[in-house]
Amino acid sequence: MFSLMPIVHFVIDASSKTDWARAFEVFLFGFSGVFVALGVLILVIYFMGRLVVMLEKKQKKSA
Amino acid sequence: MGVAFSNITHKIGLLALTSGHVIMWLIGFLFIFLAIKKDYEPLLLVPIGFGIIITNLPLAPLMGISKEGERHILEIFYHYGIQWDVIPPLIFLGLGALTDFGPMIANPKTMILGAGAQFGVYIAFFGALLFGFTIPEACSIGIIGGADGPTTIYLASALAPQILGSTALAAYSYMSLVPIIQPPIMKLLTSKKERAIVMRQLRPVSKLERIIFSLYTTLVICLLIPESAPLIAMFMLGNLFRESGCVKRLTSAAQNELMNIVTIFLGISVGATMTAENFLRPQALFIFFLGLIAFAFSTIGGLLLAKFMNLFLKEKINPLIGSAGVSAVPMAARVSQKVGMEANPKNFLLMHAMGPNVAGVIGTVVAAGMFLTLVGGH
Repeated sequence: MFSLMPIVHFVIDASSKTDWARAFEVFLFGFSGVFVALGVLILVIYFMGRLVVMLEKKQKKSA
Repeated sequence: MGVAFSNITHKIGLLALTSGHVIMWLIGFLFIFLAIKKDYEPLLLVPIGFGIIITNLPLAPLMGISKEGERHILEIFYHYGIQWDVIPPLIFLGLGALTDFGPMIANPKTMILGAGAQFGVYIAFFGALLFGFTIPEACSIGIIGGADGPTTIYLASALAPQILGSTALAAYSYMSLVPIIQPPIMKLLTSKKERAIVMRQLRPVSKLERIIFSLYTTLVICLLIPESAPLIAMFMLGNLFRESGCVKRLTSAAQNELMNIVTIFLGISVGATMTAENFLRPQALFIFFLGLIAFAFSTIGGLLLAKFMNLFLKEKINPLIGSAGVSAVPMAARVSQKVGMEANPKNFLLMHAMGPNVAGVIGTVVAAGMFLTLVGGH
């Protein structure tokens, strides 16, 4: 009969040496870092977009 | 006479052939077959497949270092191209020259989908730890979920060069399988009504906006995550060439000649790392399995984040564009378009999906930069 126990034992053995606290730290800072970096970039794109549109309007008016 | 005969027999490759070599040849043939017959990433799988075959020719002075301490030809390509981090940034220069950031600039909120689609990176990261890989190896395996070959190679060469061949091959193999992997997940996680959502046409983006985008993106990303600078800076330089319009020769060189030359060296160097001793181990199978998990969960991450955003947005977005956040430019965006059109034949999602698609490239580079910052490497 098929049993999952050998796989479970393998996973427990294989992962027993892992520093899980450090791994969780890498996940937490890594994933949130991606959101923060792209979030900041979104804000900059919004503001730069507004600025450029405003400048181009002014340029058209003065022309 | 006897000594000469003995010398010759010690230098005949055929006599040193093992079953491992033959298995690796078959793997190389398989990738060449898939590239030629099935058109799976042929630009990379042909040189990778050939690299696998020739690096497994016993006694051939191709990979490794001679007794006199001189590097063999493939070792030179690998050492100066990949270990010195030259090839991935050059590929990014070409990619930048080929990428249109207009859809992303026109609708920047879809950029966050490029972050959501990194979910699979971290699922595979934990999966790799469960399989007994070290943290640096788990980072290199997880990044396969970003569906970005050069970034995978860049990170693996810094953190876990011993698994570089397997991770690169898994990344490129699954990238070519995006049209097969993604649609069932997309259909499973969205209703027909959601897939049929029509999005408003994007506003035109001026040349000035496009030019300054490459400049401020370089500053913002490189100031926040300096480790991602080699890739982002070259990516944005290529894009500046393209958008400035005043260096057409450089743009053309980056898009064509440079990209093609570098692709040859990248492919053959990656193939050359895949010796029987390195590859024919259970770890390689685990890496391929985890790569698939990473791709699937990145797709799920992008789709679910798009659905979550719709809870707050007045103007709904089609959740199918979320799955394009897994990079794999432009194939993932094309898949969104195709699945969207099946639900509503008048729905044109391609340009909307290109936003998260190119944001996914930046997201993957940032994820790799975060791994390098947190785990070390350079």
